[in-house]
Amino acid sequence: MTLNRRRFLSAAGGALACGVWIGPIAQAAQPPRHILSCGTDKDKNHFVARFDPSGPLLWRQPLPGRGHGIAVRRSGSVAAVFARRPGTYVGIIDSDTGQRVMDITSPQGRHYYGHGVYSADGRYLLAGENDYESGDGVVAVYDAVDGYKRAGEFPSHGTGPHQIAWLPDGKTLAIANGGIRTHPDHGRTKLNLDSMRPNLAFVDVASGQAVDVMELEPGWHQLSIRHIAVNVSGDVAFAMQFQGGKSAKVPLVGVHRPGGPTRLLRAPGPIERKLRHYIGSVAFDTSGRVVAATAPRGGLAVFWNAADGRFLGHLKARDVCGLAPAAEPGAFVLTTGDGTVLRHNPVRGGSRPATTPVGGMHWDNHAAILF
Amino acid sequence: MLTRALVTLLSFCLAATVARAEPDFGELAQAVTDGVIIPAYRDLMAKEVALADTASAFCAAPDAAGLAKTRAAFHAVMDVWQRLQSFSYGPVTENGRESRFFFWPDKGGVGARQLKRALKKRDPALLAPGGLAGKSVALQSLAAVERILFSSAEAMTEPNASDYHRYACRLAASMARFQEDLAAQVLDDWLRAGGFRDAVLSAADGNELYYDDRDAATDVLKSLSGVFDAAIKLKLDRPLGKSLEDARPRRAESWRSRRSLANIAANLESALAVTTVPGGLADQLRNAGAEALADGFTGAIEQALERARDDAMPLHDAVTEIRPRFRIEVLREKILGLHLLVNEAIAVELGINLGFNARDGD
Repeated sequence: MTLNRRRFLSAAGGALACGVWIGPIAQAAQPPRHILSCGTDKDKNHFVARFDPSGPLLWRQPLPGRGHGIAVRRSGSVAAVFARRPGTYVGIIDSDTGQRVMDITSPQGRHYYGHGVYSADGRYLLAGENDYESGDGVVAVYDAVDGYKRAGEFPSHGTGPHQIAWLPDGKTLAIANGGIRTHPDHGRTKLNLDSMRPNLAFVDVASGQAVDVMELEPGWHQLSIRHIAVNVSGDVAFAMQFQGGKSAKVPLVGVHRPGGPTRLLRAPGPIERKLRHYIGSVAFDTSGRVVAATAPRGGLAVFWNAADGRFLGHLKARDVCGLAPAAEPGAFVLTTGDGTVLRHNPVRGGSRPATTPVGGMHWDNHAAILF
Repeated sequence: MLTRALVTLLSFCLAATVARAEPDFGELAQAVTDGVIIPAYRDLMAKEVALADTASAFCAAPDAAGLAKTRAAFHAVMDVWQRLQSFSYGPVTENGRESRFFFWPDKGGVGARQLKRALKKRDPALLAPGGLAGKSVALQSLAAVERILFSSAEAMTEPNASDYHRYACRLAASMARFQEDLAAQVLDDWLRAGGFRDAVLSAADGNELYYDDRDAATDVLKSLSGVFDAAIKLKLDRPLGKSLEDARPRRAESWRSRRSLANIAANLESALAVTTVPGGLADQLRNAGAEALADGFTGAIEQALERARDDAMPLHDAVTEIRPRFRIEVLREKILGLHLLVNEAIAVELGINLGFNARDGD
């Protein structure tokens, strides 16, 4: 099967192609870190699944539609699975068994964007919402202890709050306001590309006030800030999707610390161009020193040193999008729309397929790590 | 021994690198543009002119022969439009032009209601040159022309035809003129200096519309995948329903003019043209070393085409009867196979990503 071989080779980024691969790469013994990810099988059934990156599927649970982001509760035994935007449900899952414990539905006039987080103590679940008549971004708060009753909400301080993440203080929420207005009557059509104004907002959740709002220069207002990741020092890596002309040379990833400067992470020209103006996921490694970003349209993952912005290299993998830190510092687990799962360490080099892909299986945009 | 093994391995790798054949994406995009799309738009313009002229002559002196000629001219337009339906990128995707050419499916029946209202009101302004510009797609598209020419058009040929029918006839002619202008605009947007054809041809260097020539080739492949998908989901599954009892004949595309299968055949003809045009998909698969896939795909399209051309019974009748319905289901399977070939084997061989995450992302 030349077909499979080629797919395998392209997924493994050519590193394997000519003898760089020296057998299974020697890895230190690692505690098991399981991945939760949404996916779709060859019969177009949507599901959420738990798997060991180097082993089999532990369980899979059907979903009514395509899923997106997953929030893991502190204990790790419960996870919230978000419908893909403009979805209106969140499935609460027992992450040990895959059992669907209950569903949350967005109120009238609202839909979710596909991402959310639990509070550090596991009490609350927060979710980005679209108040679609006004177009205002909202963060909804659900009380996990009280049957996920809606406990309140506060403004996201922008339009289209996509991914949200806590700063290490556990009080300030970082919100990627993508800036793009949509309305369910028009499906996924973007209604304000000329006037869009994305930002990265930092909100004190107790008061609902923004403590910092980062906007890029006005000329880059069509860079939709969609995905974020936070490291232990409170650096926020943000990843973008450009809505303008295809010849523009624009940054797609950056790091910002609230109140501090913004460092844009640039890749060498030819590689940056291959990203096709589109980053699907962003993550820090466990040490918080390496930033990884995936570009499914370009079939590339790219890596930087967060502290000085040094480009660490790229990995070719068809339709790669899901991204999570592996246990080993510097290393990442990556999932693809072809159903492959890869491990890659941009610092030490070397990548390998972690599992054998299952035919017709697609891993969706995001992978969440279970400790 | 180790050294010899290394040398062998190295030479294998080297040979593999040298022999690795590459598809020429720029050639593919240009072949489809100049060899298929632009000739088809020229053809569409010519057929629209013929429809407008025939319809005008028919309205001036309505008789059965004139109606037959007008209907034939309509079929000729639809044959070309349905071939162009396979290319859902470039100028046709702007300003809702695809719906202006052909508004279907009309799920809420909005188009039908608006047309009904217009025929009741009979505003003479709609009959003037340019009178339909800026109006609803319900009054512009070939679906509306069909509705007029194939629902009760026989009444137009009677000596004492009512105002309603006289107006309807002239409105259909006016729609044909609108269609002619629309085709001319789209063709101009392709051909003018700095137009879409230039963007396709200069894609390799990157421009506002394409990152590179692979990006331009992706549009071709995405369109093929899309037309197979639409044939299955909209043109076949909707009228087929879940079972014989659930069949919905009037959900068939162009059922009034009994050309639902002819539409699918035209879709498949353009897929075949994309594949067999010199420098097209089959040639690029051969360039990539996938000879068998090139031949297999061509053969698979021809097989599906043969099924679609088997018009022993119109689709909307066939879905309601056991045996004919089975033939439609076989056609569906064939197109499903084509869809799979494009999305899996061909995309992978050519290194084009029509992938899951890459598409309509988040």
